[in-house]
Amino acid sequence: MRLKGILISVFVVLVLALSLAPAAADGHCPQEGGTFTIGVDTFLPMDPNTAAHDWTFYAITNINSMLFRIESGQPVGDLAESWDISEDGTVYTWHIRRGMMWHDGNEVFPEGESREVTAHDVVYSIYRQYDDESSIMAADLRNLFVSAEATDDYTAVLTLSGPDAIIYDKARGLTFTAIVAQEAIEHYGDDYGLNPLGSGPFEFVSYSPDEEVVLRANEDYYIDPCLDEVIFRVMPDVPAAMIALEAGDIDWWGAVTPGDDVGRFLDNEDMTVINFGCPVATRLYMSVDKAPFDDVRFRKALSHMKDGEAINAALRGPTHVKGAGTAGPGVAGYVEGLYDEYHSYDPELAMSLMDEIGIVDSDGDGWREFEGELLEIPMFSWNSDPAPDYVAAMVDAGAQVGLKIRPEIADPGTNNARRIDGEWGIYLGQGWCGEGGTNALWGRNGWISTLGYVDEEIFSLLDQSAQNLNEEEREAQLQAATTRIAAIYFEPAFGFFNIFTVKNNYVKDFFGGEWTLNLVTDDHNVWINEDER
Amino acid sequence: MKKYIFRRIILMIPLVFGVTTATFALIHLIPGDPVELMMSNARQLTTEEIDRIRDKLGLNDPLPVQYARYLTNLLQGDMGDSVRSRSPVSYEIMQRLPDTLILTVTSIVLVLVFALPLGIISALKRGTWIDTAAMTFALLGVSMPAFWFGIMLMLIFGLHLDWLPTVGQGKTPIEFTRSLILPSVTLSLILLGLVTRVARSSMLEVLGLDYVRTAHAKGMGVRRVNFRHALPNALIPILTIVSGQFAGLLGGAVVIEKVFGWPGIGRLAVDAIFGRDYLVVTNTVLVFAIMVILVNLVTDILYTYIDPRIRFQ
Repeated sequence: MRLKGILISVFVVLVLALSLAPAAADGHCPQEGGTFTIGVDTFLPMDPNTAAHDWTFYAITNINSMLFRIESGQPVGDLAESWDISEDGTVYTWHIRRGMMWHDGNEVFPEGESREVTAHDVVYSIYRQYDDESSIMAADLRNLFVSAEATDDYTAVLTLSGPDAIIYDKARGLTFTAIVAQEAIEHYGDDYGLNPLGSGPFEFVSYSPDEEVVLRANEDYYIDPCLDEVIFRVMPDVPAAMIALEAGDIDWWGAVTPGDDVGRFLDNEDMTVINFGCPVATRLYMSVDKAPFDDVRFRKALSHMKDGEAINAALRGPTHVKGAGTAGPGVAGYVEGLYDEYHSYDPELAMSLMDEIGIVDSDGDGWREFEGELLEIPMFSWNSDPAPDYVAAMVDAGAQVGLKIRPEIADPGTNNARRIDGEWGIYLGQGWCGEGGTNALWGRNGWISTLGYVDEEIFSLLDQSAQNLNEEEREAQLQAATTRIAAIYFEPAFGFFNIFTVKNNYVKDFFGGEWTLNLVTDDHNVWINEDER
Repeated sequence: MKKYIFRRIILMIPLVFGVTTATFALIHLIPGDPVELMMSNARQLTTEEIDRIRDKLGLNDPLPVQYARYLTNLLQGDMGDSVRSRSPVSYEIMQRLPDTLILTVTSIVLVLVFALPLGIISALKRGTWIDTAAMTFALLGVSMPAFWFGIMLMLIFGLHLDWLPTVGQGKTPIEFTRSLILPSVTLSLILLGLVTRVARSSMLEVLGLDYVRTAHAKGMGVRRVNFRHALPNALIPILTIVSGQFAGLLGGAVVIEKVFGWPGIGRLAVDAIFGRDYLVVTNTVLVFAIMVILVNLVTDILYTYIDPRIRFQ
């Protein structure tokens, strides 16, 4: 009986010991060391005030601590262990993690002479962005900002004039605010982006423009990183990058993977294809304040005359996602069934709508005229793949219904200038994934406002949603805005495409990037299985 | 000679001024906005945000004001800041210039080591299978697109054989040399065919001249006639071609730099043009102009060593 008791006790102790055994995320790694090489197509200096660029933020979010990180679309603690939000959503109280130290062994903090990161650093970082008018601080946050103050060393309070519902949104809100040290900013001045210093899991080692950025593990981080080193390698040629990925010269391709390669990698058992989680729409804009685009029936005709779904599927391959709107499936504001309701392929309907408004082929030459003149519509697009193919598909679709569309393909700069000048025609558009995207594109002073997209009801719905902390209500407001955009503008949609990144399978415990690149968190600690490499 | 070199350097000043003025004006003539382009790939900015940033960067100032500011700063040794990276343009250029020079010089060396002997042997063995093989090789070199050739080399030596790295630069001397092989071989292909053909035709032309026939008639050894008397004269057009192409390669290596992820000033210039990063474009053109002038000067000096009859006026 006594022996049995001892055995049971030993068993219980063993079970407890095993259950409490630290996982990789607690700093105990199945394999320690190694270099994680990330391929990206471009990279900018790493100042969080100016680096408006996803892949650059991948490095920033590993060098610098953030108040919070985005994981599976949700904010999780980082420098802020936890935070409270006042009932009216205007006061955020951030509780700062104790014992977080600035990287040392550099010009600012010599080895062993670092100091703790405090709430005062958080306040400094927020004001640094707010005071710099050329910083990338989002307008939503800037407009609502009242103050930031440190009530003690470990508590920072952010006060807004109204609730900010997109404060956690990728590429909007506070996701830009990486925490920097005042001493580092003062020491490096404008060159801080070339010598970033933070308190994140990896320390900056070197930056060679257009070549690479090297980071090494921060041994003082509250979790020991499994990796020794992270390298961001700049590879502007995507086909060459795909070869490098297969050859193992890069371990993860962190930028957009072309559809054909996604299909190929899906069949490769040594690779994992990772969904970025924010489907990107491809659609058309047009000069809605000018004839004949100002007639909703013509916009409707343009939408129905092309088989958008088939075109998108052909051009995007396995990355194609059927749908319409700005927010794709899984993103706040997505409306299911929008494509079938507003953009389905119906050339007969398109022709009858054009006949109805007097856009007809009166001289029998096969092309339709408007007010007695041949209607030849320029279609503007940038010149990188697959944009010109969308234009070609539209030219072809137009020809099927007797509408002459003239391709006007130029480099992105020229194309943007045409839109800013409000040149008459159709524009190919792409991007603006996420909730913040809907707001910045269709909202007040939105990106396409120069083409006449001005509708107070849409503005109002988006303004309300941006300040509504009730998720259900906000979702309803966003969906209402999305539906109204479709109903009044009929912005011809082709569908969405998923952004896929690809990793080699010897990279473990890695789930891809979502603006913040989480290599070392409470839940994940990326490591390399050298035996599988 | 010193006086000549000094005069040439002084002449650079108005030339450089003209180049910067023309570039500054021309790049602003192209439609497009740097802030829009900088943000359009990642950030979702409203027109209000874009205008705020433009204002802060001085891009809303009239063009003459921007140019005067640029010139004033340039005279003080400040090339200004890149709109895209917000870092000093001089830093952006100096970070890449050595890499471009290493790549270009290595390619030129490869060309001289392989193309020159090949062209000369081809001329000396005119009409034989060696000549045919050499000219076929030269034709392939001229007609094969460099980016395609680069990808093929990458597939064969990087992916399938795993002998060489596909991208990037190695950090140790050995790694660096290994990483330099594929891009420099690819870049040298552009010139290899051309120089082989020029070397052959130039050598053939010299071999047919009277003084070469006289040397043979006097009973001089074939090797001595070919290499001591004919080759130096054949080198003049080759040098002209190589120096002319050298300047072109400095900026024209952009495709190779892009494929192999090799940082270089050509890629910087092209990205800056597409990004409407005005000061980067103007200053890289300025650096190109200075280098072209310097290479031409060095070529002129080399002429005098190859052919002592050439003297500076």
